[in-house]
Amino acid sequence: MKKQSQFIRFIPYVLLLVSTILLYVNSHSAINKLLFFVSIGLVVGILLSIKDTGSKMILKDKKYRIYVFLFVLSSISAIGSMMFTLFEISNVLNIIILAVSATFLLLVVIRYQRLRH
Amino acid sequence: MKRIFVLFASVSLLFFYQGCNKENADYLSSQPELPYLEHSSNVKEYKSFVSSSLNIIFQEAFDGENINEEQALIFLDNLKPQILNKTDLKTVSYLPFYPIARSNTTEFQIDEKTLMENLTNNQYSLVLKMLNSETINSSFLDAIRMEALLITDKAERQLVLDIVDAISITIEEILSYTTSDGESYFTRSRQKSKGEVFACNVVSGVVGGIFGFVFGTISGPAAPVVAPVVTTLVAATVSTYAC
Repeated sequence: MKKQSQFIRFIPYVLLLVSTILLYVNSHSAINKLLFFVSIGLVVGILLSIKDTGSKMILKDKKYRIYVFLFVLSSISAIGSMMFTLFEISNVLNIIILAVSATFLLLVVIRYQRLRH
Repeated sequence: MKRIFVLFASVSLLFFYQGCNKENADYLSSQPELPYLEHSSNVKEYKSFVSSSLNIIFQEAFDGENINEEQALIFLDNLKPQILNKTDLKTVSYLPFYPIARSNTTEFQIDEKTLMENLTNNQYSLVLKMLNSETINSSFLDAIRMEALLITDKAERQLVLDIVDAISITIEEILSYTTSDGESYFTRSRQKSKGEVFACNVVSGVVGGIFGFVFGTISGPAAPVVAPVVTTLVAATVSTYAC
């Protein structure tokens, strides 16, 4: 469990480094705009990992882990889908995937709040 | 140490992003200026708009020539592969920078059902060619003009130049087309300056960051993973609509 929580903390640093390099390399593409937002998100993620939010014991909860996994999976699909339609969200499929992603985020939040109390 | 790293990373990213934006702006400023349009919500006018556009093409290009519409379409169909086979024209102009170039080209929303109801297949195909911003825009027409100058047969060369001029005039006609109420069918939107776009994207990033922080905080120990994803999705959404 300790290894798992350390792994989660380690992810933003690696991703930040990778996205910074990609941002620099892909200067002539819409992807640089997306990477810019990803990078800001990773900075926020690192700030939160410094702040240490919540108990690591919550990570033991199976439902919590599944919701987090599904949320990340659907969000990556949403980002990929947006890139596929050249960074537009007006596409019906994009809206559906975003809605699914938002639903899983809500489930993560609800599960965490329930476990905390 | 971590805080210093985060601060350093944030500042570096802003500099990188500004650098990337400058390169994009330099590229775009080196390209011919293309019209940027917003589509009107009134689709009822399509029929007359399409007919008038077609009429202009054939009046301008083939007036005085003993050529019917079908022959004209065959001629255009034959001409197209010759032009498109010069793949370097399209590749150099668009492909490496397609997503960026696209946001600055003419975009038309086509009500395909309405068009199909009112036009024959050939006409429909021609209209799509004419309105397709990927193939027919001012820089592409200039490229065709340059190619046409190499045609040795004088009559054929003149015919190609006439067609190109006709399409140019048609595009201008589309721009100035008005509805029965006298309102412009398409409105020319003011393009945001480079600074405005940059500021808008940074604000989108900050808004996304706030959402990421809030949702990261209330979602528990998975915050370092949840926050970046929420930030990216919110920032990208805000940016798409606002910038």
